[in-house]
Amino acid sequence: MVRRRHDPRLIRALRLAAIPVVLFALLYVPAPEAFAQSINARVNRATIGDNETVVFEVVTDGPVDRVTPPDSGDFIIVGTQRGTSIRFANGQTVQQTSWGYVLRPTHTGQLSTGRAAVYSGGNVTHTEPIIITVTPQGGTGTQPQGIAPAPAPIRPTPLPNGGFEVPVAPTVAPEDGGIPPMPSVTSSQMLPSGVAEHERGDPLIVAYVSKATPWVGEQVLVDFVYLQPVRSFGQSTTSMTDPEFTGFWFRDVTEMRAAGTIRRSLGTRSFNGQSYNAHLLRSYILVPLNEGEQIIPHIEVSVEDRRVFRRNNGDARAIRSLPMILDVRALPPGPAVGTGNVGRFTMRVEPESLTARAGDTVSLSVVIEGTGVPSRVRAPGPVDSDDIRVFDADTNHHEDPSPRDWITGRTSTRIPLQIKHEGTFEIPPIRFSFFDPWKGEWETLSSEPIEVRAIGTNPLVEVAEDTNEASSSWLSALPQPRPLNSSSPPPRRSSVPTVWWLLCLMPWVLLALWFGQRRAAAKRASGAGERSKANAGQAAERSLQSISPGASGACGEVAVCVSEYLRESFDLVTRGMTNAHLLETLRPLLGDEAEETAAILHECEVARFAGMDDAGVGSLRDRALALVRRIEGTR
Amino acid sequence: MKTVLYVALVATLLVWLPLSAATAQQAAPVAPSAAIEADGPDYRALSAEVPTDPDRAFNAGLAAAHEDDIGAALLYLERARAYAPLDREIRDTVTLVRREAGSRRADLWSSDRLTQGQPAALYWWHFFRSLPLMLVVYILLGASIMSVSLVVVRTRLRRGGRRDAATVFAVVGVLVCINAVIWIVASQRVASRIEPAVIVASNPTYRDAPDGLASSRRGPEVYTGALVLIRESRPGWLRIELADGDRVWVAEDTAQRVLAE
Repeated sequence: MVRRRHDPRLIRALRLAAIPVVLFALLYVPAPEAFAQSINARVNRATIGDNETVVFEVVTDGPVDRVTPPDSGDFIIVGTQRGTSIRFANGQTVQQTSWGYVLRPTHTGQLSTGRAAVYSGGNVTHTEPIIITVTPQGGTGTQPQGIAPAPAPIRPTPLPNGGFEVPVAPTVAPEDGGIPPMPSVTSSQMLPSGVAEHERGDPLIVAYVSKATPWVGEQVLVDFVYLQPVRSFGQSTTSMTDPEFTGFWFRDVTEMRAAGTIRRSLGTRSFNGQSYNAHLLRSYILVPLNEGEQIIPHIEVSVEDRRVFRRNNGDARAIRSLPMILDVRALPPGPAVGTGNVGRFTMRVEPESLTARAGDTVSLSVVIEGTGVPSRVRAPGPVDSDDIRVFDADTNHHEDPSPRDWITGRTSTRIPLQIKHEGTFEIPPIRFSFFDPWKGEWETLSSEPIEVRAIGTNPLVEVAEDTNEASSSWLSALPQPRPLNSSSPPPRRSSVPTVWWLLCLMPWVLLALWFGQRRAAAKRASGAGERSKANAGQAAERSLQSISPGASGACGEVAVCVSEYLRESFDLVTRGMTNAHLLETLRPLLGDEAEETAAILHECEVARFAGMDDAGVGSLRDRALALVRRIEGTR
Repeated sequence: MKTVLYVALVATLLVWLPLSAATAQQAAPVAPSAAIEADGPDYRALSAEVPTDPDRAFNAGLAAAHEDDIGAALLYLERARAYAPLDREIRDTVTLVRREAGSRRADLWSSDRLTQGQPAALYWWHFFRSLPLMLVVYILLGASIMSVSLVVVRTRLRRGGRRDAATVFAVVGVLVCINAVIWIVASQRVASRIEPAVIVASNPTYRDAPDGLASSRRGPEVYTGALVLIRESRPGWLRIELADGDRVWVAEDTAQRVLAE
């Protein structure tokens, strides 16, 4: 039986190739936990009154990208809540996330909650709709256990002792050309929400809002403050659920608001006749996006109660703020610039160049800077005219990373303009309108007209002369229809035929074959060299035996025989070497025979010039013969 | 030296021949040009006969624009652009109609900030559509032959300036081959994975789920004439990617694919 011997290089190459395959498999084969997922939807009440709310909760095990609220026309979402917990099951850690939506019915009857969509790993799963019975006049529905009912939202009202000293950074002094001043928020302006029903000695959360009736697009500051009774012990907060704002642009500014505090402590304050230690939980800047009643959802903190002489010692319970209603006012009639231009701004208009050629494109930079949300600001620009053609603008927004009271930043717009003809003309003033919520009126900024000189014409650019007509009737700028070809055009190739791949591959295959052939030839030649090395000893012996000691030049022949033997057997060329160098070179090759070899060659060299009798030559030949035999014997 | 000259000659022929052949494929027009008229030919029907003809799609786009059907106009014009990516007139017309669509969108959603542009992946789609694929294949073939020949020549040359020059040109040829292969493979992958479409519905709505029970919404990102990507399709529904990267579901007749095949 013939046992195949594997090429070690092939095995090594296969091993190397296996490494990326294994890595690829590890990367792309998902872990089994990734598929483990369960999605449940439930409500906390099956029957509610028409002025009550119900909590629709989606609970998921495992990773989830996002969840969209239930889509029902029968309910409106008045609040959201989110919680996360980790549990251990069957030796594995499972992250459980719950999304709660506080729904208020729009009418009575058998109403459907609609479906919530859960997006996870590119898949979407819809929960089943749940039927809720809504009865008139606040029905006495069943109250399943699980989620506490959310309180109805209320409007913020100023309380006699409701003011809070949240440390506010001082207002920035106006600078020339800088951001215009805006009113700062003081404690007396912050309006508190009410508080939920509670027992004396229980902690509270109060939400404070800077304005109860903001304009659409106006910034509103909201502080959520945790009030812990001064003489309470054994109460500690364990977790917090951030509010999820619907209908607002928002930004968390807690760190900026609490910059001057120690661990967000606001000191001891009195509220409803009781002393509390106040802590700032969260601060947000909200921008209402729509008019009408907009609800600021509650924030929830889980408090663990370990007071000694108290029932339910060790229980964790949820403390919530009351949701608040903001009466958002519509902007008064003004320029049609949308609801993004709300705040206080300055405008800077700078042309890239005041001189150009007809047909050239110059850029006009319009920078709007001030107090307002930059990403919502719509910057103005010039319009097409007889002199210029306006292209699509490139807009960038920069929001100051550390706002003080309000969001500030700038909106930079670069507008390319093409000059249509030679001459001197004006880019008309650019007007930017915004609504100042502190003044309650529209304001308009206007730039100076910009004079541009067009000298000469750019021959490489074709100026569209009919753009003015196009601005009035864009259809007239469209080209004429084209004549049709009799034959349909050949289809565009979107893939390369295999024959072309083979054609492109063929030269490389031929090259590989050629190299393979060369290598095989070299191998054959190498094998022949090995064979010639094996025969070198016999050839040297025959040559030495044929030398007659009495012949002329016998010493030289002996030297030639030994040198040829060394060259063929060891690829060693002795010609030109000194005796010491020769000895040094021979030692690693011949070991103990190196000195004898060097001595024979040296004596032959000496004899060639000094002469030697026949007996000496014979002895030298015999020594060389014996040397060759010994070397061959050891090999 | 002769070998190098032969290799250069063969490489030049391989590049020049397909170019000259492509130029010779222009056929003579058979129908005269005419303005778009109400009682004129039905350009949409003509385009439907040969959907891959860019001229027919261009005419259909112009006709749709004159009928004030911006969505269909952009669909046909984008189709014409897809089949004739280097045609400047088509490109300019697309820009013109797109400006009009953007203007109408801004009028409709005046109170919102509008995301401009198109899905990022469409850049590569346009790039590879404008890439003459067979020319790249010819370049690959020519560079392969040239590189292999130079490697052979280099191996046979003794040390010297010619051997170094052959080495340099062989390396350059190999790099050209690698680039050409990358372009061809990327072109095929982009063509197979990216499926652009145009919103043609006049008052488009979208949903979070492919379900009639899911609430339909309107938004400034889904507007008539918007260029989107189809990421998934189910019976009656298409999942599209918008300019800002969001993916939503629309009814099947809301968006139509740009490519006709």
